[in-house]
Amino acid sequence: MPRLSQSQTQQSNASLSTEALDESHLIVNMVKTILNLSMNKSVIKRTDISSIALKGDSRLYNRIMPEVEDILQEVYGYELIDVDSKGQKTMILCSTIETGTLLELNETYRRRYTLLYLILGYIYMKNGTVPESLLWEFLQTVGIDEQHEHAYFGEPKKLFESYIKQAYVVRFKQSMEGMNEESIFVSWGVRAKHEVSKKEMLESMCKLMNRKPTDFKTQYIETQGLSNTSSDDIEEPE
Amino acid sequence: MKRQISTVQNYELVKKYFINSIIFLVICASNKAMSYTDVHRAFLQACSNHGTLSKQQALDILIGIYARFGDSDAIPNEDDLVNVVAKINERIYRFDQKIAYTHHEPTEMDFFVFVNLQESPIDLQQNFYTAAELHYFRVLLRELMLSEDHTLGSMVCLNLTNETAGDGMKAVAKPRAEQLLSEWEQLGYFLVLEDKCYFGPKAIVEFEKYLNKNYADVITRCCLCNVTIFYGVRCASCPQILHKDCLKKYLRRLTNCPACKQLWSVTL
Repeated sequence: MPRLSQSQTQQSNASLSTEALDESHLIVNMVKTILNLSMNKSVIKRTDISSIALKGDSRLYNRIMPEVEDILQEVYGYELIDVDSKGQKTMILCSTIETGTLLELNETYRRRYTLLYLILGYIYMKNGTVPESLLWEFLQTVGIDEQHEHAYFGEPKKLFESYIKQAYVVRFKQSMEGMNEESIFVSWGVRAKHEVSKKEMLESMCKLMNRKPTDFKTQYIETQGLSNTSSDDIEEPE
Repeated sequence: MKRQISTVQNYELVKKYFINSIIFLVICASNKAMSYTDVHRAFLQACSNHGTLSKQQALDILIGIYARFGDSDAIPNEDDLVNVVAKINERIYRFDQKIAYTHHEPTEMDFFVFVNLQESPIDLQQNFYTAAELHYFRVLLRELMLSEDHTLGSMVCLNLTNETAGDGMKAVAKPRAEQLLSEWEQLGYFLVLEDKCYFGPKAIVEFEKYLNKNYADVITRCCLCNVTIFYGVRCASCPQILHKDCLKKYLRRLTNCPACKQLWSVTL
């Protein structure tokens, strides 16, 4: 087989380096696309990322993704977490850095987060899963009505739907004991599990209730990173 | 008794001192050029969440971040803030992003703004606002650009939603427009002062190229620093506007308008 002439070698070398350049360009596109699509924290689809950043060439996706994830983690402090979805590969961009102070959020987010934490806190103390109706009853007791605009938080129902869209809360059907039909339950979503510290949540709730974290066995064990297998002697908060 | 150090010994001492100080400076520099840590990431996230931060806000946030992620008990000062921003900018430059430091004339305050520097289709890709809402934004930019003194009354801003209908798009509803204006003000695109709407620091930085390109005949530059200017001090005798700071420096030496050379009469 004839050896490549010098000009041919140069050409293939040139195309190699343009390939490298192209790949670098694609990496930049993918990072930008993921950041832009995640501006409102919603769930993003792999197909969307492919079609926007890679012009539909999804073969490149697997090759480029590791470096993209590296950059998102290293430069921005974000990671991509898979979210279960029927058929399609979907994910969310989560922060690997816990929000420390409310200062870091702008005013709109502060209000959203306060309501969100209230909801997540309640669900957590109720052992992670709660009928949606009970949640709204609880919120009613602190002056938040599902159907009416709240002076500080805004429209609770709309906000709650946005939390579901952002994967902070997940809603599902389940049959409750003693009931014929299924009820709607809510629990922590993938984003909450990744971004919200259970330890801090328990500490905050305990401060509110003037109790110690160790008073709540199930929750306390969860914060220690162990799963609770026995559900016998769980102390329920009043 | 005075001890006389010989010239040679003196030279050796000086050399040693000099080398030690170089080593000291290098160590200081490498400490200052600290590695990229969660401090930077957290601050970057805060900047991008807020869009625009006043200098004081930025410092307060950095203090909180240092307390959580810093490796010592040090409380950051303005120099640290500048260093952190510089380090972040080194990394995000590749993605056409920047944390820019800008002076905003209407408020006479300094701001850090997180901006996207490019306007390619990839950069404009978003799922946050509808097409009509984006159109409303551009209409606001246009009207601010074309209005005298680059301000619009709040009511006028709301009424501009009438222009957003068409091409199958439903016009932006007034309550939504109010919400959008509030959101955009928070991000720093606009600023409402005493019921008048101005360009905010983020719009000025992020849309400088866009405005220069599309409104080249209306845009003015401060004749002292040659930077695009929207808000400043106007000469009483000619249409020139100048940055307050530029003018202050100039008037220390001279007393006339830099453009028309008439005696400067406007109080600063």
